[in-house]
Amino acid sequence: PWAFCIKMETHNSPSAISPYGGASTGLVGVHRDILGTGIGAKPFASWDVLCFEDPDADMNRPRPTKALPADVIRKGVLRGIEDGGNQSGIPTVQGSVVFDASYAAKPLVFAGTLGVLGRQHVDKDARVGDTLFCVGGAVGPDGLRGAVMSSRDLRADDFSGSAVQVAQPFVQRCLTEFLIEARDRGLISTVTDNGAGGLASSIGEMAQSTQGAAIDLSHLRTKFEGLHGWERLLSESQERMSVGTRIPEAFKRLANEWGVEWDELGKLTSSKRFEVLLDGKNLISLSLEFLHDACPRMKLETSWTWKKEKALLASALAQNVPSAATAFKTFARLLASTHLSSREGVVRRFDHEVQGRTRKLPFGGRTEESPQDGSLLEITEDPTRETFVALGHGLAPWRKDIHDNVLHSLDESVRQAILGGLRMNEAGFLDNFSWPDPLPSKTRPQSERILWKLLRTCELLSSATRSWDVPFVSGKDSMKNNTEGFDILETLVVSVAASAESPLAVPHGFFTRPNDVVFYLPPLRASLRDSMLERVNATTFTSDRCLLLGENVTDLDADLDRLLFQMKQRYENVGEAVRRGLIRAAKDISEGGLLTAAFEMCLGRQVGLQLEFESCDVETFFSEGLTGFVLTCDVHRITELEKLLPDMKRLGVVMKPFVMRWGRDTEWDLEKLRQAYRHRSTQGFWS
Amino acid sequence: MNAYVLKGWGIECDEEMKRAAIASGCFGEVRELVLPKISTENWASIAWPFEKGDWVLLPGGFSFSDHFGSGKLLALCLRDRGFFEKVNELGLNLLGICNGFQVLTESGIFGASTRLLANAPGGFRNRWITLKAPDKNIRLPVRHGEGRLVWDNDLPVGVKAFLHYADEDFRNGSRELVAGLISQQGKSLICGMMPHPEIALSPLDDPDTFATDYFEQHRQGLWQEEGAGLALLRKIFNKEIL
Repeated sequence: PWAFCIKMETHNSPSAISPYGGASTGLVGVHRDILGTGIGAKPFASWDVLCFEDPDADMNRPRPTKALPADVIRKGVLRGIEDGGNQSGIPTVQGSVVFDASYAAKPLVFAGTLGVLGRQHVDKDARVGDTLFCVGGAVGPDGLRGAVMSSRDLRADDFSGSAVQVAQPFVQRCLTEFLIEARDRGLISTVTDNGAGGLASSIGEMAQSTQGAAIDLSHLRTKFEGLHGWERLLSESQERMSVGTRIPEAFKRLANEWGVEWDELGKLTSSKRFEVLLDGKNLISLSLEFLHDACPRMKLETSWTWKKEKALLASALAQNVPSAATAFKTFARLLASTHLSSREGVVRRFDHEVQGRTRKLPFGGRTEESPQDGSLLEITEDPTRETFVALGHGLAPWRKDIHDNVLHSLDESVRQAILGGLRMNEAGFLDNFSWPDPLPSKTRPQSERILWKLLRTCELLSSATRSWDVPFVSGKDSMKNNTEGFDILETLVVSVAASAESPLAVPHGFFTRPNDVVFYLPPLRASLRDSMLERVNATTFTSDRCLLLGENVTDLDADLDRLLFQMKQRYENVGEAVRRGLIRAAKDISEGGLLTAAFEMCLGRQVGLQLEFESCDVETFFSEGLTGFVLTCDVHRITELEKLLPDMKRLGVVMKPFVMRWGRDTEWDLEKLRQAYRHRSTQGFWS
Repeated sequence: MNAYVLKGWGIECDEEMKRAAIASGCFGEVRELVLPKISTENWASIAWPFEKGDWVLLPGGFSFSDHFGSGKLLALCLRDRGFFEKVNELGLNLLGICNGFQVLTESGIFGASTRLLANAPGGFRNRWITLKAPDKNIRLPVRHGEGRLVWDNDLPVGVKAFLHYADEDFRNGSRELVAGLISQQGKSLICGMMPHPEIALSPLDDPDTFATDYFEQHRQGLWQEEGAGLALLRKIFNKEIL
């Protein structure tokens, strides 16, 4: 049997000061997290979430003086992800790009990776006396204090320093191939990656397994002469793994055969100490108790309350909703915005098929212009059995109500993954936080509210995981995303992975043939609140500002439980329909609402849609909510699907001409909308 | 007849290349050849394991991260280690896909002036496109940044184009829209192409083919189990491509 593992890394501060280096080491670094899982897992798919300053934002607004220009950051980060992923031979199978003016304070780079390993490789087996090695790259002064720099405000001298490394995917590729063979030959008893904190962290962690470690740094391979002892210990130089083995001679021989360099560091002991020698002298000798448990746990308190939050949310005055008569123009403007426009220009730069496992690609159809939700990947390790993994992710940091933000992130990840064939009862979640500093202080009074949102987020995630019976298996947080008093949006990324149905059951993301009937599952709690329509128009069209109903937290939580239960039922029913192969094409209703989802599904084969609506009612077509889908069904099995999804409604019928027809009279030229949607991709915005 | 898939030194697509070679059913055995493992300090004494008429498969992706230009370093390493002399001596057959094609081109095997340069319009792109193969149009994925095939005057004698880009949505600047070359040199068949047939083993791998097609064509007995890539590979391995 095969197991898979999942991890996502944040690399925000490094990408703020060195966009290319920060993004590439973020991605190549998370590959090492996978390589260090169990006694070594093989990374086989990546996904990225990138949050950039909106280039369409007002140029004259105040912005951190030390922040690099938006274009420099965006272009550098994209190039970093391109090189980091493509040169590692690990496909980038999905991702998101989010724009908001607040990300001028720090760009966000989330890099996630899935790995596969045999069940027998899941547990580490370190014992006293195991020989410790550091394999891969040499140590330099690069990456010194990287973790320190990331944990405070940016300083001018950060830009000139050496806190950010530059990735060498080639070195790591060789290292990976060697380690996987070493694992399969039984040469590895334990393995940990070297990231933040360097050897101090990796060996310090390993020491816990046997209650002690002793290493000697005298002969460590270095990139420069004259590195100090503490630099050797703490350097975050990339492409290094720490390994424990009981067969050191065979391990060295295999490393030499692969041309992978190594340092023999020392042994695992039971001394209850982490001991480091340099040139015959003790560099440090720390008790493990002090090293791992001495740091006191922080206790934070906030005076912020739901009452205060609610009052703040309600303060905006609602404007009139645009009329159906202007809907075409409104929609074209939405599609052309940075938020909704096609991501083709960026996605095509990332190899999404290397390793030959990707069974549902980011784009579908003859034109490959319909973005598809969810990824389906094959575990090709076992040729005798077909095994698949589904992956989805979601975020909605622009949603002002924190409940709205969290539930939309959760929902989007599950919605996507269900369309990748996810089996809910075999799934695991992953949470990644990028938050502005939540420590309340005299200079940061706003942190009271930020801390309250953090607390509320954790409570919501906890409720969801209990209600849906899906565990959170890993996560990572970054808590200092502010510069010179400018804060980013509170950003939560939820990812979900699970074993999945076969490609023959999994729906694709585009309409195929004329006369196919198109249905939609109306989103729960749909509203124009913080919808794409509101964002692009920078105004509010609804006075309803909160997702959950309740004056106090007890009422809110009761409402939350009801909503989570409804969502779970939807997931189960749609999941069952996928499992039975009833759904042929489907997209989730997310940013841009029902209309955007239907539009995107027309692109793959350039077909049109005859709608069963006389006109484009803005509330119906632009509202965004939870667990909404647009779908087509196997023609012979519509009754079966209707039984399973009783609240499903008819949206229209697919037709040959590339237009959207409302009733009999109104016709929208889809080619015009297509050009609006793609103009950034075709005109080099992403290159 | 055995096939050897090159591996190591940053080569990426060896796994899918191996799966495809096995799926083709054309070989007695498909073996991995880990380049750093056989590459001793004394280059002249390298024990290449090939026998007469074997196939050597050069996979796609990157090699050595390609900082000096795609395929350049790997071509140099193979040349210095006497690889191409072995090809002549044993009449080995070569297939290079994407990076493998770049390696073969850099080695001069398709002519001294034949080169694969940076795409124009530029940049790395990954998408499925239509190609003109000898007998019909097929769909395969491309994923490259340096696929603009150029040569001076005419192609050398014995070198022929067998695959052309036929997709209006994809242009990389290749002369005469050529996507793949084939060369018969003595007993050796040498084939190179930019698209990736090794991951088009089933029609379902195509992002435009899907379950509805499968079920309907299955009912009518029209379903072809074999993807366009696998069919093309088998033709090459059986030397039916010329």
